[in-house]
Amino acid sequence: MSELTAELRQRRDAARLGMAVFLSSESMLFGALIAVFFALRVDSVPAFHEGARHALLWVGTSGTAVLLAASALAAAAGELAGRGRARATAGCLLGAAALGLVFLGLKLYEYHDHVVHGLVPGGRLAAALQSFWTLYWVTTGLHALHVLVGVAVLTSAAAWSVRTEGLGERAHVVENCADYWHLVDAVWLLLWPMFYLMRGGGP
Amino acid sequence: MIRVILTAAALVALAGLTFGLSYVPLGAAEVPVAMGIAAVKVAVLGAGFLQLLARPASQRLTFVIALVLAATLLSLVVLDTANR
Repeated sequence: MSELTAELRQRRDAARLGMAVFLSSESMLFGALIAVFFALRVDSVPAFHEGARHALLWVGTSGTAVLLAASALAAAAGELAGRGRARATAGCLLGAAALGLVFLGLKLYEYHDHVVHGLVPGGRLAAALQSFWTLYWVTTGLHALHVLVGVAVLTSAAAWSVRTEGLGERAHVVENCADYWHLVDAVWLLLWPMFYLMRGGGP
Repeated sequence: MIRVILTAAALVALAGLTFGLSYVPLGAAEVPVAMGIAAVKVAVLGAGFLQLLARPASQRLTFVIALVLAATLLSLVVLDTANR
């Protein structure tokens, strides 16, 4: 990396700044949804506890473990790309993408369970529970969409890594893809307690 | 690579802590504890995986602006709900 030409360094800094701006705007989008969650929760704590008890804790917790492992692989890919190790980089990126698919599988199972039990907005739920489940579907659905995009991004980056000459000088491309995945992980680290863990204690 | 392993280990430990505490009836402390630990996890991820502290000032400033705007929004929500 120390041998980067001025042009490549400029290109790398511009690309990483662009990704930083994009991730910042994404974090504000989720920040607004999180703010709405707490604004509505203040007046409906018991209903939000009940909602969280109906969410599948084992799915949310497994999803957290899966996303953390995927984020570690994505970070490792960024570091390996900097050393020019194309095959190892691609392996880590594909591993992270596969874990992303596992997460989506877990969410699909959970969504199916919620539909079967009528835990959907517009159903015969009390008004406060409607708020919880509307926010649950909108926020986790938007997050799942980001995971899906992330899987595509990581897979594309893996293919790009193995066919790129001088990967070490262009590692910022892999690092940017990994940064996107880290945002997906960071958002879930906030959603997990909101929709699964804050249930008033107890089993 | 040691950075990645240490960050992942810290995140797993914090996730275990917040999961364990979710079984404890914390009352009014529930939100500050759960979201406080979540915020620490995001900070660890930002420092360890995103390497925000090692980035050029322009990139750090971008994230700081987003953080300030999000914090402003959350503060206004807290103020609004506290004064209803």
